[in-house]
Amino acid sequence: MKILYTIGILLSGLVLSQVGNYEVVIPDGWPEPVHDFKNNPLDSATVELGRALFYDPVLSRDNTVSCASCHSPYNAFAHTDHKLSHGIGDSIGTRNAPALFNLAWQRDFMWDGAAHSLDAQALGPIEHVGEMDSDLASIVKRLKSDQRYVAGFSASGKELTGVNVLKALSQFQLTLISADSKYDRVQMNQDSFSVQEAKGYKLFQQHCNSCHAEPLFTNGKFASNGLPVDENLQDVGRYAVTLKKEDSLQFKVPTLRNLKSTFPYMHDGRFKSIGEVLKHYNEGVIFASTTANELREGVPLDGRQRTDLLAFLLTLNDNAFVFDQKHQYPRSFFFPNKGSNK
Amino acid sequence: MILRLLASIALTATAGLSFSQSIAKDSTIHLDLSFRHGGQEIALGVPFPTEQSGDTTQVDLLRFYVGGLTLFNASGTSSTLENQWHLIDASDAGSLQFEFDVDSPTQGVRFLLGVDSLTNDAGVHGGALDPTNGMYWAWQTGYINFKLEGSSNVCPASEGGYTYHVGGFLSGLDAAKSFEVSLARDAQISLGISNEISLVFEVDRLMKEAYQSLGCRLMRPSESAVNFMHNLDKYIYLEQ
Ligand code: HEC
Ligand code: HEC
Repeated sequence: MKILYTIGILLSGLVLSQVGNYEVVIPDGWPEPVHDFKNNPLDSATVELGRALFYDPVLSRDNTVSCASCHSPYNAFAHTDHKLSHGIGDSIGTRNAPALFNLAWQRDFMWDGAAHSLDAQALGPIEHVGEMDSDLASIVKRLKSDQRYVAGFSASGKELTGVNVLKALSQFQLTLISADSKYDRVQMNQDSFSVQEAKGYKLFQQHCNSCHAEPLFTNGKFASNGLPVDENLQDVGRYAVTLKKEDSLQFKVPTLRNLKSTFPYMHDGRFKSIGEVLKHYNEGVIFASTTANELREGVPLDGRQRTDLLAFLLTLNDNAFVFDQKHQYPRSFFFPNKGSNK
Repeated sequence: MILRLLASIALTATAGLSFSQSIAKDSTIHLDLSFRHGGQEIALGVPFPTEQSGDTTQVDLLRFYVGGLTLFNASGTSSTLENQWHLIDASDAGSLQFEFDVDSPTQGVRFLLGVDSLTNDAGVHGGALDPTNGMYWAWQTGYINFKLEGSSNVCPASEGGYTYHVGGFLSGLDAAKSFEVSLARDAQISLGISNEISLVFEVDRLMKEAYQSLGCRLMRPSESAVNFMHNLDKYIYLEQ
């Protein structure tokens, strides 16, 4: 892997890498993905299968809910409007559905890191009674009676098994890469920040970058940013996974890319706007034993500074990604005879 | 769990090999596993009496992963006979039987009970480890090493019986455990002689202790899960 990436750098400047027969483009200046592609090398046929599975409600017990029900492409694969995601029979979950992109650079999944492997993650929603309430064995059975999937798996050269269904979902999700925001163009000297955005960038680097680290806008770690605990949800975060006291109320640091599309914010979707988020950092941080040191005094910003910071955060929106056809509903898979719309 | 080592002589006296050599090379060991209470084989779904008079216990499901099966001889030299994961399932007779070829006398058996953290770390796998086998947590990632479900007087079916799902692989919560079970020193299995040994797994004793330390439920990685796995060797022994 490493060698392949290096060859990519030497040959092209643009970092290209051939993984399976699907080309993963590592954006300029980004670190190496942490995802290990070796166990499940990407190939186009499998990526397309994963795309179909992602949009197919066949994964839920009563055929009503697909992954995309909660992870909509138009919301950078997050679930907007609803604070807490809605699943089967309109059951309400306990957390806000996060955006899905740049997952190859992510080591831990879910707000508390309950999933450590993207290949395995999809079992969570598939078997969760409040989400899709199905089970992988019956999904495999259903898919085996569907000629499109039988043909698709055979084209990919893989057996239609539980593990391969999961790996196909993972392959598709790994292709969701968002790296074409104004911020990215500025980094490549193809664009420049306005005065306001530039001031906001400075404030960002000063107050936010320790956790929401460039260029992914997350350091991939867990932290407590001083949100008061919701009395009803009583969500203890990372502690539930590691059972270590110091992990209490720690949640995964989310990326700040595409915020325009991913509201509401925080693990429980408690804030509807970025303005509310900045207000929290300004005056709402509560002092708990695990609250991050750099936030203990809050982030004192006056109204003007908050506007500058907001202007910068908006440069992280990536419309090219959000509207990219190749990640959307694969009409030609589901309706092969109705004209193609890839 | 009974491990029955049946060293039978499968002679394939091929031309060019002397007779004694072919015995040495082709000794086949049949290994079969079963589970006991009070010296009897358990039957799934059937209540059996416990030490406590009048009380009964029933096992409905008993499944676990075994990896890295290795036989070793008296001098400690070992030979891993195969490098595969097995899903042992008390309801599936086929999963309880193994057959190995050995070429040195056998003293005991070594195996990993559960899925090691490296394998877990690499994600999901196929074959015995395919998540459709129902041995993977859903609400968090990781294999379930060991499942024991049923009911008893203290954990009655009307209240959901007892459920012990044991697993975990993160640091501090790693609940895979390797075991080494030996015959007494003078009781090694010689080559070419028909032997039966059993690796007895005393389910009734295990359940009694599980109830005492866990109550009727264990459903998640935890320190208790690690302890559960580490204590299992108290209930496993080889019998010839
Ligand atoms: C009912 C809504 C719902 C459905 C359906 C759903 N998800 Fe999610 N998804 C969520 C929520 C909520 C979370 C966060 C859960 C948590 O942190 O505990 C999440 C988290 C994730 C994550 C982790 C992202 C991260 O950054 O940590 C991935 C990946 C994911 N889902 C993929 C999928 C896939 C693939 C499917 C279809 C098999 C799916 N989801 C179906 C609501 C849903
Ligand atoms: C100590 C680490 C840390 C620092 C510093 C920090 N954050 Fe956060 N941020 C987090 C964590 C952790 C979360 C998720 C908390 C949760 O949901 O419980 C978060 C969530 C957010 C969210 C919500 C994103 C979403 O998709 O839900 C936004 C927006 C945000 N932070 C912006 C900022 C800004 C702007 C700054 C600087 C003023 C900042 N953060 C500083 C750790 C930090």
